[in-house]
Amino acid sequence: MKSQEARRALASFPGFGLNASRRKHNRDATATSFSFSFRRQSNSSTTSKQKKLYDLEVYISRSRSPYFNLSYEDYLFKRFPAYTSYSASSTQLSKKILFLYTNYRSVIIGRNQNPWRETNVQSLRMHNVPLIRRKSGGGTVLHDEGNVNYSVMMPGNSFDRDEHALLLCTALNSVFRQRGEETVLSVNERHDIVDQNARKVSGSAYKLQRGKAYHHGTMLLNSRLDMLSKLLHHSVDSRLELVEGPGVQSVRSPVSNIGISDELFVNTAIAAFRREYTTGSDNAFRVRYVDEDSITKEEEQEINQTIDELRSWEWTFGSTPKFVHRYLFGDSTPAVSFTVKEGTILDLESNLPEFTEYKDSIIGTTYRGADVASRIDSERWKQRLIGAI
Amino acid sequence: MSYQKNILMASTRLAAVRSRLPVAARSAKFVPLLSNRFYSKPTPKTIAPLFTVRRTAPSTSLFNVLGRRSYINSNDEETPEGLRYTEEHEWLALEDGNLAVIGITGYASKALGDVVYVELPSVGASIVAGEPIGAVESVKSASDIYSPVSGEIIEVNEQLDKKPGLVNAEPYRRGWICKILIKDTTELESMMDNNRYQTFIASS
Repeated sequence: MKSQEARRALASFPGFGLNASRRKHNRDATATSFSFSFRRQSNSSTTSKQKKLYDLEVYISRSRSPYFNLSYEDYLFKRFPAYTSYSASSTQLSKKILFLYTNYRSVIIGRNQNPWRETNVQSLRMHNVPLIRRKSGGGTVLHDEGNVNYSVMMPGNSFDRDEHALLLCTALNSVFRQRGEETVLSVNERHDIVDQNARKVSGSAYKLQRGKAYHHGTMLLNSRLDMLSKLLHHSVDSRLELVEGPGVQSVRSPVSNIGISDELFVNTAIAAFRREYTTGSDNAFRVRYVDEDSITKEEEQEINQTIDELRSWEWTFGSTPKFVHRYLFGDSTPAVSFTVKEGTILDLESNLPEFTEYKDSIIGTTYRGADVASRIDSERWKQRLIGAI
Repeated sequence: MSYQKNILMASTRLAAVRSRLPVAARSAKFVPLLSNRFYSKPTPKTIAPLFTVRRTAPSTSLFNVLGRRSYINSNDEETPEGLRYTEEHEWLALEDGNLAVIGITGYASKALGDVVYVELPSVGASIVAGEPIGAVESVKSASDIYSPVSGEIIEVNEQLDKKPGLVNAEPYRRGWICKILIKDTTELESMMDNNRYQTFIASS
């Protein structure tokens, strides 16, 4: 039939997958994800759906340190084989890694974001919450012990932004049904997992390299959502600062917890991945637990290098794309504005004598509170800058 | 009456254009009304069923690839002739013999989605072929870009700081990423030309 042929032709074009299993999930079928997928949708007219099998490895971190967890994730990704077109082999199964971890309270910003714009730097310092820049894209999230993160690493030619989120939704929805709860999860156009009230319960971010990719996301189980506004939104003081410049901006969404225990979530996720991507009959399958003590000496060296990078000011703040940071007085008149690139002050604009006097010495310093404050006299401005930067 | 006359005139014009085309193209369904002497046979439909891939005029010199490119169709979905391509969907244009201009292809930029940020390499950095020279962020995904050649980075496209969307809108023109001074031109030989790249896309 002509329409069937047309349908098949459409399905063969990457990105236009009319994958029947997607209809089951509460998702708008017209919102095609232009995923970086070179995978052809199966055009077979037979009823049996071929299950793509993988060599699945599951890791769970016992560490609560966001530095260790993000570094270990990066280490797993570096070690993940790059599947290029000429290395594709039909006999060996491709690898797929699922890594689950929980961090203590920390704010994680995306690779190309501006921390001064996206977070309340002063509030983070006050609450002693670390700020970490991750290596994948996307926006800003608050992690705490009520949030479990999942990270899925896959070969580059089967990269799909929604596949694993949909899998988790189906698995969790059956758990909710069993428990008699009303919660129904689905994936929206922004690749977030939302509940039946359109409240976000999971955000996602991705990283693509040659031959491989990963998708990681949060899952709000029992998180302290009240801390979000305290740490991320701008308070009265920080509203007197404006940040102008490129960089990815976070999109705010109302959030909600799904209220199950982390153990239940972890078990559900592992069972779902095993069911979907393995034959299930592998008796040798085991979950690998990792933490700072269980890694080998060679691994430790590499992981510590990444930890140092994540902890460094240069990576967290210094690698912000060029921006202008304006400080205003209470009546919104401009006081001073700094043009900062790669962590160094390029230019300063101000009518105030407190700054114009020392303009030459300020230009060229690192944009850190202590450094800038040491170059000016005014006590009031010293205090303000030390707090804000 | 005049309606029929117009149709007659149009079909006569069409027939006139058709007769000027090479024999293979005369029976094609799509006929360009502008007489383009270099019109070549369209690629088979199995490759890209949704877009008609119309070939651009071959350039005799690669020099003006980014300069006067009036022969390149304004529809940037088509991969221009005269450029070289990699399996990672980067294109390379050669200027002045050893200055390579690098960018990502229209296919990649479409697959990635709306680019919101481009991480550019630093000017003066020396690069080995296969090394990452930056990244493109789109739809929450940070994708690394790799250099197909070794050399030194002479210039980066500062326009992308303010307008990262140029990578989507004009991937072969204003959306270029960086310019590299090549030391070893033999690396270029392993890159694909337009036809092989089209086949590569079709087969993946």
